Amino acid sequence: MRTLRRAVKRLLQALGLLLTLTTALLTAFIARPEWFLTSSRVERLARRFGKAYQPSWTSFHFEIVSRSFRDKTVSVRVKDLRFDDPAAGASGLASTAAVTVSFRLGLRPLVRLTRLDSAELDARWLRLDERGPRPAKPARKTVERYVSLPNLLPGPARSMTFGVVDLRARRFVILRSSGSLSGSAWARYPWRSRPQLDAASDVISRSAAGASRWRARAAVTSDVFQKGGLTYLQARADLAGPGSTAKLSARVFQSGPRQTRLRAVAGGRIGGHAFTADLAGSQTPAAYALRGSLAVLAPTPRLRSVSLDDCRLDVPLRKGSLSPRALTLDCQLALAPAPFGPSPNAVPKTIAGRVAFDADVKSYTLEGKPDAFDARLDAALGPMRGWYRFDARLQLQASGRLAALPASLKARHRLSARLRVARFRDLVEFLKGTKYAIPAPLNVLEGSIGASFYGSGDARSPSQTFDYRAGTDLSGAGERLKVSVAGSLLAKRLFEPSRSFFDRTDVDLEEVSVELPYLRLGPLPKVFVDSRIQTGAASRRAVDPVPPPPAEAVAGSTASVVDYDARVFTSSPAVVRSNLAKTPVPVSLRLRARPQAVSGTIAIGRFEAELFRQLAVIDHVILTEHPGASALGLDGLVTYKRPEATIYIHLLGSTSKPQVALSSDPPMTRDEILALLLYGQPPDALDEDQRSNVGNASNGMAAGAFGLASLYLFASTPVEYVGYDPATQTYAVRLKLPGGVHMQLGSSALQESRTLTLRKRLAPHWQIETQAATSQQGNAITTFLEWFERY
Amino acid sequence: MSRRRRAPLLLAAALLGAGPASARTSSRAAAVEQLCPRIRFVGPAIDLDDVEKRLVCGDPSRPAWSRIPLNQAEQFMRAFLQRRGRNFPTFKAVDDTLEVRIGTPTYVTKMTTTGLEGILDMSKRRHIVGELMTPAELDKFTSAVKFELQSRGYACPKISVTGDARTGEVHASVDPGPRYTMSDIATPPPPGIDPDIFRRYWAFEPSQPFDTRLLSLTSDRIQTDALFLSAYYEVACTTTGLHITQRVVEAPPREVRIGVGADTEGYLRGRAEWKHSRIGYRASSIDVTAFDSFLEQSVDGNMKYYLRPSDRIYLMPRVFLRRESYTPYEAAHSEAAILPSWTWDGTDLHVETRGGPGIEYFNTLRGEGPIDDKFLSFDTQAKVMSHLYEYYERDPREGWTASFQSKSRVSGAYSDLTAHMMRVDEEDLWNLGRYSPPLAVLAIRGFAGTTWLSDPSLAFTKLPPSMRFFMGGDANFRGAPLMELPNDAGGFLTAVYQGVELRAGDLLPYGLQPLVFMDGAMGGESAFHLDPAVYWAPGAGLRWALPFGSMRATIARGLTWARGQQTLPTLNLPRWQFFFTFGQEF
Repeated sequence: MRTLRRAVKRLLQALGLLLTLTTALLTAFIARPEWFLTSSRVERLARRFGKAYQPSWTSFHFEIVSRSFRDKTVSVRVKDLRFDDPAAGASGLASTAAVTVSFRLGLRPLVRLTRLDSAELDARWLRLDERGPRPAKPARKTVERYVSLPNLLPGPARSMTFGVVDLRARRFVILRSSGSLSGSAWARYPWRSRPQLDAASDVISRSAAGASRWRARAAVTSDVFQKGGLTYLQARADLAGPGSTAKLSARVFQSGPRQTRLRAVAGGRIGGHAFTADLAGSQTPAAYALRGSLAVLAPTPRLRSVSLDDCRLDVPLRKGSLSPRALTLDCQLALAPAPFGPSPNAVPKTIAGRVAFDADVKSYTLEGKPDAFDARLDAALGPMRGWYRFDARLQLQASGRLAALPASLKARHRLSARLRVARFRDLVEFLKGTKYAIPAPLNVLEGSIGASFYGSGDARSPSQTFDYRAGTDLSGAGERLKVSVAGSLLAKRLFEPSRSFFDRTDVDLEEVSVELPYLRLGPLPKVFVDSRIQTGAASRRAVDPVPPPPAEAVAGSTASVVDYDARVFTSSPAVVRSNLAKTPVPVSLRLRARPQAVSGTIAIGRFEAELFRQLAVIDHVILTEHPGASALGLDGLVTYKRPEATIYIHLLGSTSKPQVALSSDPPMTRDEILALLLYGQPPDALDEDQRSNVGNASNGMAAGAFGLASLYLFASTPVEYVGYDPATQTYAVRLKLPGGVHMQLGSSALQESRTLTLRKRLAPHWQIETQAATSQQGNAITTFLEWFERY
Repeated sequence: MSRRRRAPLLLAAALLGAGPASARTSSRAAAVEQLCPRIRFVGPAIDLDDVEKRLVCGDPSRPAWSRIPLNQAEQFMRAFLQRRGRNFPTFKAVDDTLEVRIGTPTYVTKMTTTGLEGILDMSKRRHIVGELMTPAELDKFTSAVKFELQSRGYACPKISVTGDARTGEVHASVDPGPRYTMSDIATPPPPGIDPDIFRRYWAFEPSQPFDTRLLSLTSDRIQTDALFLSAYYEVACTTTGLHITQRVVEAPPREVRIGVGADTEGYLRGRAEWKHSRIGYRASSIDVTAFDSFLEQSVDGNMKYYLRPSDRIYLMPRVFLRRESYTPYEAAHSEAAILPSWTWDGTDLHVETRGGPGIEYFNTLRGEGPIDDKFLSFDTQAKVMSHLYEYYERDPREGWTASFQSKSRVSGAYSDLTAHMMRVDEEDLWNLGRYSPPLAVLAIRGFAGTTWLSDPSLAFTKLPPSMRFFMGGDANFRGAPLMELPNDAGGFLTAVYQGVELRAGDLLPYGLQPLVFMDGAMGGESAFHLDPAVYWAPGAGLRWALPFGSMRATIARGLTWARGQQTLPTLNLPRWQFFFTFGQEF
């Protein structure tokens, strides 16, 4: 028993001694850390615990000075510090890295920094390679704090003052899979004896798209550098890059206990578009509030500016928490269109609208963070009222969970736009004198036109459908144009570079009556410039119309694809009036246009015309467009009723090579029918010249030598001569017009044959003939003026 | 007034004159022509036709087209100006008026092609460079390229022509396509005739490369024979290849023609002809022609009797009754012969041969020759002609022809003497530089002939003048009148002629083509012998190419180079000789 008590007593004595020694050591360590932490010991510790960074240096100096029991000053200076962390991809070399910092020991926090006496870094190069897999960072628990100015600083540094800061990275490189950033940067405090932190960076960004250089400069002035507390902060920043500049000036200051105010002004040019922004905000324990405006100048050639003015953003907070309870945004939207039209007041100076957004937070996480929300966006333009009426509106409803975005997000949208012109004449006047002037014969019409655009559905869906309608109800000067258009535009993968669009449109020409311009018998006037003759500056030499082989598609091409299916049809036949037709010509359309081809039919309905000097009934002429064909298919029927017979003229083949088939009731031969049509007599009663004309016309029609327009002229006008030139394989027709005028029809092809034809008819039964003859004098070509008769 | 005093006055007058002149110039430069109330030309103006004017100015008679917006009028005007070679107009809208400056005309300065390498060279094509650049000119260039390709076997080319108005370049992008042959010709049977008859007119071999000119030549042959009123070949390019279809325009088979012509040799010429061109299913033919001129009156009857439809062998019975009244002689001459004949066409040339016996009658009414002589003769003719010569026969520019003819009579074979007449003719033309249309044509022609008699003493008593040689006239030696070389009734028994002519192409307006030539001839009064004297005739002339014929006028100086000859035959040289013909070619 005594032994036990003695053992326990000795143990307690030992423990007491150990505790006393430990306490003494600890007290000594705290009071005089320089006794324990020598430069060499710290250097060894740095090498040991920093092994992962493979550090090396030429000189390492550590010093800790105790200014009091609790106040210490630590200085570390390393020369030629080199490090390399393969796992993190970081490496670098600094000529000098030195820091001198003063701190006070305490309980909470254990260490409080009181002053950064000096921080110096002269890095010759730094390299960070982010291309490889990066270790996941452990989640850090964050403590919610009011975002007040003092809270901007980390806790241990909230009372710290600053001495001298001189940081420089002469060259740094950050490698990423999409490219690289390289450049230099520096930061200094004070800046030219002013209590201001200045920093600048010169960065070159390289990627597959090319290289661009950016320069940034910032200056921060705050009482944090001198007072050890942060009650105001003023910052200026400039950014400059290819085609872009930006300036920012911001001021944040404490306006009361736990109250902060913010004022920021920004401006610049990004991508060629100038912008300005002016914001003022406040933060109180109850809410955040922001007021301001944002404007973009000349975003498109047709818009001078787009601006959000008088914006109000309010975020009320949950009581006793920093979590938002709701969010509302209300802005005045203004679009300023570019001047257009002859009158300076033709377009409004501003198209006004409104953008409103509000969101409610419906629930919070266990940690008190906002979770489920409902949001609504309502943006509207107009209504504009003048000679036209225009309005547009976008409504968006979204809900989801902030912690699970974007997967939990649900959104529905409704988009609409309407334009209506009550008096078409106003539109004509508006566009008059511009390159979009309404052409004749439409510019004399009166009535209304309108168009609307509508879309709704799941805003997150990769496929979106938009419907549109348009219509005209115009009439005037004997014309009528009532058209309705209905269509839908399907956009697939809208939010991806490989988006595609498919448009389906129906155009119904409900009532159409147009008048053609004055035309004369003969070739139609060419009213469009022949595109074969080029006059552009780029046409240094004639462009080879045979297109070069298409460039091979690049894998992963992001070009959008546009597909369409447009149908044009007449629910009642359109009426075309011309001075060449005795009665209006009904035309029915049933056409379909797709990217690969246009197909369908153009059907000319029943009408009367004087052909071959007799009244004929054009029963129908149907022109059919076949995909890939260069000419329209032809199917027509013309009927003559004569005392001798009823004659049917069938038009077959194509518009470029129409074939004419003749039939009759009772049946007659082709030549008999043509003789009746051309001369009103049977072939036996015709003279030689007339018979020749009938024969040539018959063969020309069968061969498709006559174009469609020429056929009409041929049928409409007394024929004097029909010839078929074997050398050029073209026809020649001489027509007798009223007034004794003659007109020659025929191909304009170069006469490649000899200058002399075998026989040249001058008049019925008269010709000039050349004949090769061999006489005693040798070979000779002789020419005779002859009268002839065949029987 | 002294010269010294006049000078300042003259200078002042010049300056004063220049002022108003410059004002006139500037006012001319700013001349304004009002086309209509809203359109005006500033500077030179163009004439618009009625339809064009209504399209740009508006049509008061049509309310829908009464007012044309200026941008639409500008578009129309651009098209109309382009049609006139004005590709750089400028427009300016001033209030409600459109000012039009028509700009300078654009001319074609260069022709270029792609796709024709190794096939043809379009640089030889004329009348494109230097012309106004208009859509019609582009069509013309397209047709020219198409014709050239179709003459070289490329029957279905794809041609796309563009023009660069800034540089004046017209460019043809061509896909010639495959080369085709002249095969697969569809011939719809004309009624009553075997369609194989068309083969005898083919100016090609079925296996040879396609040539559109040869199709035209074939059509000409059919029309020359009056077989049909019109004949042509329709060429269709389809996805299944090339299809050629024969088309004809039928007419009644019998024809009567009465015509007149004129030249300086025969003066007025008259002709009456009756012809039946489609006898039987083999389309044999017969024609009777009565011909009358100051120098010759005749009635000729010919028949072509084909043994089979597609045969090129035919029997040619022939008879003529003729009165010949030339300077050396006047005679009644008739013949009845039967001449088996044969033709053949290769890829490049055409051959005709015939030969056979005939009974001739010759009665010399004036001059030297037999009186009331009947004899049996054997005639042969062979002719070779290039297709190009035949194709361009009525507008000679290239090709060649050569012919041989003979006439033989043997004493005792229904003949009083033995005599053999042989004659070779040739003609060659070259298109210098191979331009199209030609820039210049060089031609040579000539003949050589001789008549051998067993008894030369009978040459001028028993031998008819048709077997002797007389030169002179537009057809050979142009330095002497028709058949007046020699200028006696005897003529030559041997003769040689060679002529060369250089004719300009269409360098002058109105189709006028100047020409220069040199004719040379030699003759001899015995067989196979030429006297040393050379007859030569330099000359010049003019050809006027009309659509239905050509007029030629030549003037030459007939000269003699008596090389050591003591006596010359009776000559009418030196002399100036003028000829005017219509239709006669070199």
